[in-house]
Amino acid sequence: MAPKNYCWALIDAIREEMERDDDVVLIGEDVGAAGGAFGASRGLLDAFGPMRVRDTPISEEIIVGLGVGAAMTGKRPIVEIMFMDFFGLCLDQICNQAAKMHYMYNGAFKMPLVIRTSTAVEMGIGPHHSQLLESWVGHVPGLKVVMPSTPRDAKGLMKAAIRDDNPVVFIEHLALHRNKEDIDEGELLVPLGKADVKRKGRDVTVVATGLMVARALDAAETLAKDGIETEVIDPRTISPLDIDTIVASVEKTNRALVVTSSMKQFGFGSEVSAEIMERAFFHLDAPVQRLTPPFTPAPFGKHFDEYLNPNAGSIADAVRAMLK
Amino acid sequence: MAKEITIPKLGLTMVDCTLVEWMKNDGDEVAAGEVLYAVETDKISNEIEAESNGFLQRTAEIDSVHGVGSVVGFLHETKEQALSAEKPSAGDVTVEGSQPEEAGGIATTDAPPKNPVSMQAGQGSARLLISPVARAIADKAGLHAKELKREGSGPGGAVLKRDVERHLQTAVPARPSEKATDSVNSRPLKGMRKTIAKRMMESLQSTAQMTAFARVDMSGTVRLREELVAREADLGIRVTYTDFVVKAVATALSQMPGINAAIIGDEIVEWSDANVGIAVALVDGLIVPVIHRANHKSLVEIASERSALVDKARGGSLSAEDLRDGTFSVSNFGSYGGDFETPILNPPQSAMLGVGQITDEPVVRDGEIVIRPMMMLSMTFDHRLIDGADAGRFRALLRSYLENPALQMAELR
Repeated sequence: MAPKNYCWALIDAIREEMERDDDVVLIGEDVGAAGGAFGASRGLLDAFGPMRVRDTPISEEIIVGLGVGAAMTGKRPIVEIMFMDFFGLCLDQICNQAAKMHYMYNGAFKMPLVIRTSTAVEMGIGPHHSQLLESWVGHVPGLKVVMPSTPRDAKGLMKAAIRDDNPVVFIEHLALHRNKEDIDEGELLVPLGKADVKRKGRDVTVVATGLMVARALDAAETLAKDGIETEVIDPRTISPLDIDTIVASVEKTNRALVVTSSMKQFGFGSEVSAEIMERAFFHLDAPVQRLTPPFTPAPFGKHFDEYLNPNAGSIADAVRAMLK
Repeated sequence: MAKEITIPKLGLTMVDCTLVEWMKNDGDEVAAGEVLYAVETDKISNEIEAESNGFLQRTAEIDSVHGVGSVVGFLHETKEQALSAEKPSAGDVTVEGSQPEEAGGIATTDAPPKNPVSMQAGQGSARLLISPVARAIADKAGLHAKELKREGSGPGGAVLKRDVERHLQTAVPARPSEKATDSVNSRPLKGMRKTIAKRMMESLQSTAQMTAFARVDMSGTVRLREELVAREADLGIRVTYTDFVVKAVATALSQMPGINAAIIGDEIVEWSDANVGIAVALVDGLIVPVIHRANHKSLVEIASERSALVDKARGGSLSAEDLRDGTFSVSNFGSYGGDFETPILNPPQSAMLGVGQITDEPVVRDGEIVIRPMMMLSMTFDHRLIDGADAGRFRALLRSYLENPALQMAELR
C-alpha cells in the first residue's frame, strides 16, 4: 500500500495495461516527449517507444479518427483530447464513428477505444477550459462515459476502460490530479457501470460526481454533527448509469440531491432526477433537488470560478432545506 | 385598503386550528367586536371577533385548517369591494398562454386590487398535500389521507413520511377482526374525546414520566377547613380541600421554580407565575381550566375562582383565556374514592399532582397507634427536567404545607 496521487495512479494504470497488452497505444498532443500537457503520461515514451506513444499535431478530429481506425484494425488505443471543451472539434468522430461502428457493421468491428480527456473546472482558466460536458457524450448510445473522483477509482476505471471493447470517454478532473490515496499494489480493476457508496446514511441521498464527491463527503461530516446521516453516492460511470444503487438508496432515505460541477439545464442531475422519479416516485418524501453552478460560462480567474461551484457549505444548506 | 383577518394565537402551544363556522356572509357589514367566525383547536372551541369595521370577504372554507397568523378573509371598505375581490382557489391558476389574447393587455384602473391571498393558494385549501412515500405508507396501513389532514409538518403543511409514521405510532391498534361478541355500541372517535386520546398518547410518548407518592396527615388542614366552613357566610365561599391543595401547590411552586417549568423546543423555561390547572370531569371527557397567578392569590380568592371555573366548565362556557397558559395541573380523584393513581402530564407542563381521598387510618405517633385523616398525593414529574431529588424536595414541601397549613404564613406577602 502506497499513497498515490490521481495523476500517477492514471500513469500506473496505463503503464500496467501497456505492459500487459502490446496492442495498447497512447496517441495525443504532447503525450510523448513532454510527458503529457499535465504530466499525466510521464515516462511512457521512454518505457514503450514512439511507436506506442505518439505525439500528434493539434487536430482533435485527426486524433480521434486515428484512434477509431486503430481500434477497428485490432489495436486498443488511448487517445487524448487535452480539454473536454475541445470535443466540439471531434464530436463527429466520437459520436458518429466510434459510437456506431460496432452497430453499423453488425458486430464485425469492435471499438476498444479510450478517449481520455479532462475538465479544468475551478482552475480559473476561463470559458474554453472549464466546462464539464459529460451530458454531451452521455446522451449518445454506444459510448461509455467514466468520471472517477479518487486516485483508486481513477486507476481501476482506466484499466477497466482499456480492457473494454466499447469506446469509453474517460473524464479527469484536473483539480483532482494532486489528490492522494493509498492504493494496493497489483491488479486493480473497478468495473464500469458500478456506482460506489462513499458514505452510508439514512436521512438523505447525495449523488455527487467528480470534484463534488469530496465536497459532499465534507458536507456529510458537518451534517452528521447535527444528527443528519447523509448517504453519498459516486456513480463513477456516467453512462451506463448504475441507477439501481441510487434507487436502492433513495428507497431507504426518501430524499435525493444531485450535485455536479456541470450545468443543471439538460444535465446529469436532470437525468438522475428523472430516473429516480420514474423508478422510486412512491419512495420520495421531498422533491429531488439539483445543486449545480449557475447557467453561465465560467469567467477567467480562480477568484470568480470557485464561487460558481457547489461547495461543502452550499451542499449542507441544500440538504438541510430538503429535510425541513 | 382591505384589512386582513388573521388567526390569533389562542394559547401557549397553539399551532393551528380548524375554522368550523362563519357567522357572517360575504359582503356583510361587520362592526368591530362582532363575532366573525368560530375555530376549534385541540383544546377548545372559540369565537373570534372582528378587530375593525368593514365588509366581509371570506377566503377560507369551513373545516379548513389554518396556522396561527394565516389569513382567512378580509374586511373591505365597501360592500362592492368585498364581493368583487378575487377569491383564491385552485381554479385561479392560469396556464401561461391559455389566456385569451384580449385579456392579456394592461390592467385598467377598474380592475379589482390584486388579492395578496392569491399568492398562497393551496395553503389551507381543500387539497391535501402529501409526499409520495407518505401516501404509499398511509395506503398500505389502510389509513385514509383525510385523517392526516391536520398533521402535515412539511413545507406548506405537506404530510411527510414522519407525519404518517407518528400518526401510526399513536393510533389505537385496529380492533381484532374476530368479534368476541356482538358490539353493543359504536360511535365515531371525534371532538373532545379524539383530542384527549391524541394528547394523552402524545404526553406519554414525548415525555419521561415518573410518579412519586406521599402520605399526608391532613389533621391540620381538616381542622382549619372546619373553621373556614363555619365562617362560610362571612367568607362568601365554601373552601374545599382542592383549594387547600391549590394554595399549597402555588406556594411550593414559587419556592421551587424548577418544578414550575417546561421544555419548549431546545429551551428550559421557568415560569414566573404559578398558573394551576384543575382537572374537571365532564359528561364525556375532561377539561383543565386554569387559576392564573395562584401564587399571588389568597385561599379564598382561589376558592372563588375555582368555583366559578368549575361552573363554567360544566356549563360549557369556558373561554380560551380560562384554559390557556397552565404551568401545573391538579387532579382530584379523591372525590371518586380514589387513593392513588399515576396522573398523565399535561404537556408542556412538567409536573402534575393527583389528590386522593381523605380516610381515617391507623398510624403510629409517639409509639402509639392513633387514628388520623390520611391522604395520598400522587405526583407525576417529567424526569427529562426534574430529577428524583428535586421531586422529593417538592413533595416534602407540599406535604409540610398540607400537614401544617400555618407554615405558609412564612411565605405570605
